[in-house]
Amino acid sequence: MNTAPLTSRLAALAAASLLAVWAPGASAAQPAPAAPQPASALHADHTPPADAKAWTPSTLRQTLASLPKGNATQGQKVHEQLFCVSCHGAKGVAPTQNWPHLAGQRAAYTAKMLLDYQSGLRAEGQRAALMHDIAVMMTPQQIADVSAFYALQAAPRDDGTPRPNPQKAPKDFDAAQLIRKGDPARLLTPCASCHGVAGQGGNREASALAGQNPLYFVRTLLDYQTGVRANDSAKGMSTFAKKLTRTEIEALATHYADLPMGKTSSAR
Amino acid sequence: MMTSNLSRRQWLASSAALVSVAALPVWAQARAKTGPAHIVIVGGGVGGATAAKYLKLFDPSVKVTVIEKNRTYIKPYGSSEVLNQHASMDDLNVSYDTLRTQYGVNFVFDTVIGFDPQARTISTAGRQKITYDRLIVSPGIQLLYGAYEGYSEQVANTAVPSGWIPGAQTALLAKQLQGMRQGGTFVIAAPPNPYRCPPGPYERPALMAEWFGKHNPSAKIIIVDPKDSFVTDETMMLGWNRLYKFNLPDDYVKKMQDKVEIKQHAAAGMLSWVRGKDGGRTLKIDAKKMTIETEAETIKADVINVIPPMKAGQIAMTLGLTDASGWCPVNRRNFASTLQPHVHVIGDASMADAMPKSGFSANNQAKVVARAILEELAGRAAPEPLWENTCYALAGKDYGLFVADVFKIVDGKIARINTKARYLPLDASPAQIKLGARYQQAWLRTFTQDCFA
Repeated sequence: MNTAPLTSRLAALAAASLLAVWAPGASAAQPAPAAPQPASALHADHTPPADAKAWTPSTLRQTLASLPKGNATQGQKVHEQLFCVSCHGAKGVAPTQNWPHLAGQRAAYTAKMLLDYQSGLRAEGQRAALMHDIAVMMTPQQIADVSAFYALQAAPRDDGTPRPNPQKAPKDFDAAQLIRKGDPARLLTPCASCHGVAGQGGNREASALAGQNPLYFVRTLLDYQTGVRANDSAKGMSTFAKKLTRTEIEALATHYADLPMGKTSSAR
Repeated sequence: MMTSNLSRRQWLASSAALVSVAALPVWAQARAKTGPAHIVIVGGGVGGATAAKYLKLFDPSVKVTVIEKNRTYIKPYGSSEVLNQHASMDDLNVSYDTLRTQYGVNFVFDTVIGFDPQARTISTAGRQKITYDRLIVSPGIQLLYGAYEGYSEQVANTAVPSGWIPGAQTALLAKQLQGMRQGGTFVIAAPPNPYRCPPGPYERPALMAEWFGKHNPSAKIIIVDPKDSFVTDETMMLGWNRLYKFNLPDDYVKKMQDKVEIKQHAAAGMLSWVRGKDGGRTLKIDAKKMTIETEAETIKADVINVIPPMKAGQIAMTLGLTDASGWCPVNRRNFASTLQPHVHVIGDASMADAMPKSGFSANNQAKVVARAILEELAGRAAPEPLWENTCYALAGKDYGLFVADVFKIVDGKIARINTKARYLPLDASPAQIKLGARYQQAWLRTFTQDCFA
């Protein structure tokens, strides 16, 4: 066992706000005790920040451009010293289903998230509160460095988290269709136009989605739908999220989670 | 599906801290089924509540009954934060409602008076007789108020509180400390090993040093201790050194100075620690004169907080689960009592070798036992257990520290398997120290969720 990061890993493990119980290998014979809902809906303490300014495409572009150049080697140190490793895994692949994977993520997206946590623009519940406390301690250089580090890590594959198996509603579009063609009738731009055909991200700060943990994916889109998450510039994501059905979101989550992108990750 | 190096049992153990399953969509939940059996749990503290919840999570068809004398649980962990007004007494209350309504755990609010291990029935003061297939006893501790001359439960309730089991004594101690005269002396008598919450007797004076710093800056705090060291001693005292001008004992300075700068304060602060070898062992309390007599001296105090020696909760003794040591011997694999059949003892009362008497330990033990019982009832082998413990403590509001360990059975005993990193490093950055405090606060909340919600 690698004991070096152990204490920090455990430290933050216990700091998690909603670790799911997952009994692997057991059969899903019993109904769930409660109806599915966005996890963050449980948090009553969502307080939209007073001073956090919403992005415009231009302020965002300028801010990201003004960040120093990231150094991945330094970024790995930040990753370890600020206990990021505790929840997001030794190489950016979270060891549980509760957190997003960061490995293979676009540097611009990671940097934007950290800035948003810093300003309070991302404030969806206790998870975000913890990230806020961490982000306010970070310098622009550290943000750039850690973002560069994650961008270099192999994207997750077969992360072992549960996959939704949605019952497709008659009017639902297939995930592949939504990604490549969108739905002109709903003014839904193809996901791929920002997030890439292979879910690799790429259009400015658009996130990489390939290999992402579906619980996080679904939670995020539901949070966009309800407005709990509203850090997107010019409502660039929430507009689309609101037009997707729950089952479409789950289908997309599954599709992206199993999308093989780039190298195979051996992070786990 | 939870693949590679995170095996099923590790996952079981590592789910230790957190949880609100209700927040998960159906597809992220999974269930096993072993058939209807009745598991009765005595004690609704961290161990008992966690066992009840995880039994129902692993197998919703199993019938689970908790026998508990109080209708509301009062959290011991975090209860020192009532003293420095971080928290209110109400913040310590935890309801059993979620376990009852969400998980279908049956609660009987009554006091156990005896049992018939052959017939597998347990009887209560309220004249109920409850039959079980397996019994889990999670009795916690009892405080041996009679260990010191002049001390008793009655004295603790009225004049010299302990508050190590939270409740009215916690409120009394808070009132005494917050109302202490300017320049008064607060003495805290630390307990001998083994005891509940290893860093706790040292976090409490640290929190008060911070509070006094604002409200009673000329106050004094004296820790009298039968021991010469304690878990997290180095990181805790480093915090005292930085925050309260505490001068560390020479042997600690020698041990630590290569790794971190330790200040030598010309004028030492309000906090002092009298170790066992310096005569710190408590002998006698005089509640009328407000003095505490140790092997070295008699100290006149304004507020005295005694954390007396402790043993397994009374119910464990009533049921014949303790040995001559006053604690409960168990089979390490499944915490089955070695003294009574079909009974498992978890938490502080059990003798768990290297595992400390902490809520985190009780929570982990409860999960292992829940799993072991269900596997046994289903005629399957239980997986090899693996446990974790983390104890968080504060040296100040924004100064967190911790000890974190992983345990498994080695040569028949529960042993720590992480050899090096246990503590926040001595050279931890200010950001890490602050995060430690943030994690401590998050832990108090998420841990309660994992056990009770």
